[in-house]
Amino acid sequence: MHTRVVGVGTTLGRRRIAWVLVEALKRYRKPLLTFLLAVVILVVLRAGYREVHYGCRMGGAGQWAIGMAFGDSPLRLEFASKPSVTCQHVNDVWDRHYVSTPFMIKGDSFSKAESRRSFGPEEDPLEHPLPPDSPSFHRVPAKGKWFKFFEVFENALSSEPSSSAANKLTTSDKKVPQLTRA
Amino acid sequence: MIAVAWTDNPLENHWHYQQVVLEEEFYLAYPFVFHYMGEYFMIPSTRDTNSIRLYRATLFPNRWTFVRTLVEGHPFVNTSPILHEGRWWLFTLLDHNDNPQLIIFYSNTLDLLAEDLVWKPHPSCPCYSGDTKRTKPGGRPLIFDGVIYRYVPPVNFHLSQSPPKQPLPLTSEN
Repeated sequence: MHTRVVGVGTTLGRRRIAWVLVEALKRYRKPLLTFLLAVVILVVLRAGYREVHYGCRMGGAGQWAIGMAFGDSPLRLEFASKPSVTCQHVNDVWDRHYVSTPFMIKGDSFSKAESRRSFGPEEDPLEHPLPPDSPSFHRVPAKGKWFKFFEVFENALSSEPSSSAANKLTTSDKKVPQLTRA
Repeated sequence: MIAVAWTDNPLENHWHYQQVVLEEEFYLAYPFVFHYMGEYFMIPSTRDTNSIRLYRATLFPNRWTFVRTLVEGHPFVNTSPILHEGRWWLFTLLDHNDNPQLIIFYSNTLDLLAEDLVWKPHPSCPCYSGDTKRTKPGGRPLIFDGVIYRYVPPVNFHLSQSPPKQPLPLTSEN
């Protein structure tokens, strides 16, 4: 009996709440819709503002691109016509602003990293090596691939881009300092 | 933060963006990656830490772990290592705004993980000072026809007409 009373009371409570909500929606429909519309507009405007003023924008540093230079000598290089990486490629950083300072390296046929399992940040992988036939062995698909590491600069307002960020692989000037081998 | 892209053939210049691979509380740039004795290392520019920091790939190319501080005490920028004549050499910009200086450090051992690894400043340094067009490293040094070339950022070189410094043998004495 006690259980039944509680059950009836709960059902009535839910009905009452639903009724109150429905009545409130009927009475305040216009103000609520106006409020929701305003929120949507603000969100859209904010996203647009951030994209224009913070993000990967043309006309500013956002148009900087990482290019590839080719040549038969490292002292005679020419840039390819199209960029290889721009901030438009960076799809996992919201406030990306520009990319710069690239370094290329080839995935080696052998890397000690391949003989390790996936470790947490506190663990030293060299202290806990696993044999290659371990079930948790992670083979890195890096062999034969070329990788390009580069800086992704976030949030333009924290700092104006400096000329240093626009390093490019070029030897276009004879004033490049040089040192002879010992 | 540092990100990575990959390609099967760089001559085609078609790169696939992969992901951000390294992020810290401080500003990261200039991810100088290199391969040595089966390990991938990275020395990013970490000016805000007043140090030169070494990272190692624990799962190349996606995961990098801080290994050790190589040199500390100044705002170093764009540190560029090179292996030469049985030593490691670090070309780096000591970024004091009023007087930027190119500094070269050299190591006592090739083992970057050795406990007794010590870096000494080259006695002729600062090798350049006051002129960011000469002092700031701008890429991976290379040895070509027996000469070490050090790239610098291309910043209006035509404005600087001073002659280059006389090339010297790169040794720990001069």
